[in-house]
Amino acid sequence: MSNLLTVVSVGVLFVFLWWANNNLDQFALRVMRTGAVYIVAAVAYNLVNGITGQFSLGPNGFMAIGGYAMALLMLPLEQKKFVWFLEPQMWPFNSFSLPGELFVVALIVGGLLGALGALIVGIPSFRLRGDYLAIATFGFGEIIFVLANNLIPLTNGPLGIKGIPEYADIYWCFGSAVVATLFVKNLVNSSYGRAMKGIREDEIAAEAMGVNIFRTKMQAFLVSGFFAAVAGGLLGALVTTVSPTLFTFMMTFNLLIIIVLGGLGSITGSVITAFGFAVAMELLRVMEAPINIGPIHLPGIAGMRMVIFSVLLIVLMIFWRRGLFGQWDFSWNWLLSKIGITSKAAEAISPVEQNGAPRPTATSVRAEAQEGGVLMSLQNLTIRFGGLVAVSDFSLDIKKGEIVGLIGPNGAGKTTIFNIITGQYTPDSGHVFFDGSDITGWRPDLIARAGIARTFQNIRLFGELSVLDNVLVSEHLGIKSSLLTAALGLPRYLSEEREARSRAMALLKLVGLADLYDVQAGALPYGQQRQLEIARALATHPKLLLLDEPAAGMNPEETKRLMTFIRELRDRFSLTIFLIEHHMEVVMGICERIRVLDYGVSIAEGTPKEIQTNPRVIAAYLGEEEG
Amino acid sequence: MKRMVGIFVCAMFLLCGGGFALAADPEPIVIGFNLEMTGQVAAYGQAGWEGANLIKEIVKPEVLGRPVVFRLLDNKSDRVEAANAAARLIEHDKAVAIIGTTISGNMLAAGEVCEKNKVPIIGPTTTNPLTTQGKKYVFRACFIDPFQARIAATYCYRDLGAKTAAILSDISNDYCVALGKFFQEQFEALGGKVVSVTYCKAGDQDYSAQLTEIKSKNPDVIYIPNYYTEAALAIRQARDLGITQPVFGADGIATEEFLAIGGPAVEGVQHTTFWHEKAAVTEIGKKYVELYKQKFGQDKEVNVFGALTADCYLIVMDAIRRAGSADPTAVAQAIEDTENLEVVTGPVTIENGDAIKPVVFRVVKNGRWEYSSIVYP
Repeated sequence: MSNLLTVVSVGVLFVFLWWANNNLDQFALRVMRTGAVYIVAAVAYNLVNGITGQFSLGPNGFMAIGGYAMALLMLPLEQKKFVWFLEPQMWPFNSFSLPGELFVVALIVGGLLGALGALIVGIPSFRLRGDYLAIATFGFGEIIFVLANNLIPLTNGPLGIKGIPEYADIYWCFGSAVVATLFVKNLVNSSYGRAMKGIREDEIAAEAMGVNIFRTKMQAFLVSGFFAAVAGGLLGALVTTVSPTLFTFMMTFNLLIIIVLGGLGSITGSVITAFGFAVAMELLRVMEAPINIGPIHLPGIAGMRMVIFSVLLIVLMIFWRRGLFGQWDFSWNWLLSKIGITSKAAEAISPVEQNGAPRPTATSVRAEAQEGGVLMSLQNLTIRFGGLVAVSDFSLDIKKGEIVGLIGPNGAGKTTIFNIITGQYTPDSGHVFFDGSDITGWRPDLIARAGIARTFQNIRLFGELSVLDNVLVSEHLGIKSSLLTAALGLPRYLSEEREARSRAMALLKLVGLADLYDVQAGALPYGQQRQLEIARALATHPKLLLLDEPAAGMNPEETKRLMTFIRELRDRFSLTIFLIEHHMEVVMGICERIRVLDYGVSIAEGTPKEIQTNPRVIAAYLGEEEG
Repeated sequence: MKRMVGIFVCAMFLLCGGGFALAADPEPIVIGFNLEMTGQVAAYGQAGWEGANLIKEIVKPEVLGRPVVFRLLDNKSDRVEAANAAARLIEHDKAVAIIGTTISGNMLAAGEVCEKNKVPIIGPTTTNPLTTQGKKYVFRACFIDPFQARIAATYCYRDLGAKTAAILSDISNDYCVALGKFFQEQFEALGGKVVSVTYCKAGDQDYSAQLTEIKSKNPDVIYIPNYYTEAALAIRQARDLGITQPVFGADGIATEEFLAIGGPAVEGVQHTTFWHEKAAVTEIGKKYVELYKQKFGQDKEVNVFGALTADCYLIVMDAIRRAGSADPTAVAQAIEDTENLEVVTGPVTIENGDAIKPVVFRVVKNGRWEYSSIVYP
């Protein structure tokens, strides 16, 4: 249904363009084409800045690459001889030029080179966390500028290249805009897009759910670099000239305004504001013309439209702080439900009807658990933060199917141990063995893939994403289709997506959140957020589940239900559970074995009963008796 | 609150719409101006607009018995906007000819639009040789970069007797790099030798690396074709380092700021430029200088960008008169046929879209720009 509507509306658009091409004047067409080129560039830019949440300042550099590649390939041979009169043009570009029909090839070659540029900038920047990307991409734009000025045999240096045939007609411009928008939108709605949004919302949580941070950021960056370069190629063929000053930082700055105004993370917003930006700039020209209102004559003031534009921008930013569309995106389902053709519920509940993927039955799990091999073995873990020894010589074996508790006063180092297990911290000494491999120092996402999932003490959900999408981020590690397959919506990916969705819905049903699947996770009440964290952790298909204070903030009634629930989970998913908890009722009620930690040192281990009567434990919790 | 914003926005737009009032004159001839009124090089466009309005008072905007009206569009010093503005002037305002842009990069884009629509466009100061190359409807009212640099090189080799030269150009400005290249080409063609080519970047404060290299090569003359700030700083530091050779600049240093930043260090620096008020050889040029001083004060030096934009106006008006019609194609042909027309900056002849004009040499004397000589092509 949605696909059909998309095809029809693209068809309508092109009929309109055909009409416009025959009826509108050149100036109007030129403004429309400029708008379409901005759409390509803005959508590409938003994928990195808005969807993935990485602050890049580089689109001008990538656009320059695309612009020059297009110019070198398309410029007619006789024109090349004219243009490179200072120094001869370098081989092989001086010996060939592509015919107009192959304009698309030039755009794609430019796009691929743009992606290559993105790869070169991305590799060092994404290895580091923080704002290095902004600095590196800014520098990249500057380097391209200097290269373009100096590689005269290639770029004709500061004089630039002129006389490029005006291939970027209205069909090419809008065709590219449609392709870029649909590709990026499909990508954003796919599993890959959810992983990107997960990184934007909470990088640590996304990594703990098995998202390969480096690769996912890189994917967004490469796609963005590709389309930015395509936009650069189009721009060059629109203004018929390419030179270093066409792609200055101002270009990036304009694009930044567009995506912030449209809403960081909203493709719809980028498309509308990009086009609106181009049109408004020309419409606002009337503000600079001399004005006669009756007897009053006001002379035209150059720059007036920029003043008005700035005022509008400020007003918009005050009243729509998150841009015009925030992170909202248009979808056919939304439109159809608005006009009452399909009910929203019908579309969405359908996955719930299906049952989750087959899981081992309770009996088989029990049998496995009884075999009781060691699943995880922590050996002599020590970690220091500065002078403070947070955990000292900690060792623990956890058998398959066990529920083990870790208790201790605040600051004892419990969460630190979880962070070591899940790879957030690397211990100064000691090893973590899991399921037969030494996973010490592995990246968190690899550890998640190996089968360890966790919840967080201070809830770390992807607040802006829906409840269902939170769970689906974890399902990303099971997706086998490539990014291209996903963005093109090929059947192979769609069936994977359907399965992931039905598994996720089954998990939500299990934690009692199925009816709230489309609610924003950040809007859930506290207790349900904890439940959702568990569902999200389960979606990574773990063998070992680490729960960090699952009962925090719950009343006695809820606590009781939680205890039953944890036991059920263990049985149903053949899990092993390691939990940190302060509620003694929970710890004593469900743990088969308890370890007590104080100032980073183990002080006791045993069954709940043994622990309850251990004098050292009592001392640690209540303070030692004087004397 | 949102409603208030809505009302505000609507009011703004109504205001714009209400401003659409048609001029009462019958059948005016429209000359479009596509200028850099805002943005990076706003000073050029503003000076140009000033010049156009000044010359209008000397040569009345009337031709073939029809009034001439100006239509100004700002291109924000941006290439995409320059092309859009050209299209708009042609489509909406039915401009017979367009004056502008002041910088070459914008002309490369706007010129293409004009060429396609067969409407003449003439740039006052677009010195990049590529802008007019192979075009029938694109013109310029100034000399081209190679010409300026070649004249400078010839002067250095023949008149100063320099056999070796060093070039220090600003890598971040196309104009500076190109001038450096053209200078080198000509200087070496004459038999001289360029012993050192070094680069700086706009905004640089310290030039010791480049200057040390230049000092070690001991050239007879140093060519610094950069904009005023960078050039003045470099020359000051050169003098501090004990580099005493003559320094030559291009038209980019023709500002008061150059003298202020350079102080006594730039004494004796020479440069090539489009014009100097003392080189006002034509009748109209003298009138222009007089009116300028009357309007802006006796001490203010006449702005070159304004003078060249005034030239454009005179060239276009003359072409319309000779063409005997306001048909853009005929006007373009007439512009190309311009020969020995007396304009503000001297007599001008147009050949293949380029103005054949003299180069003016100036020298810094007692902290002021003084006219030194004029070289006819």
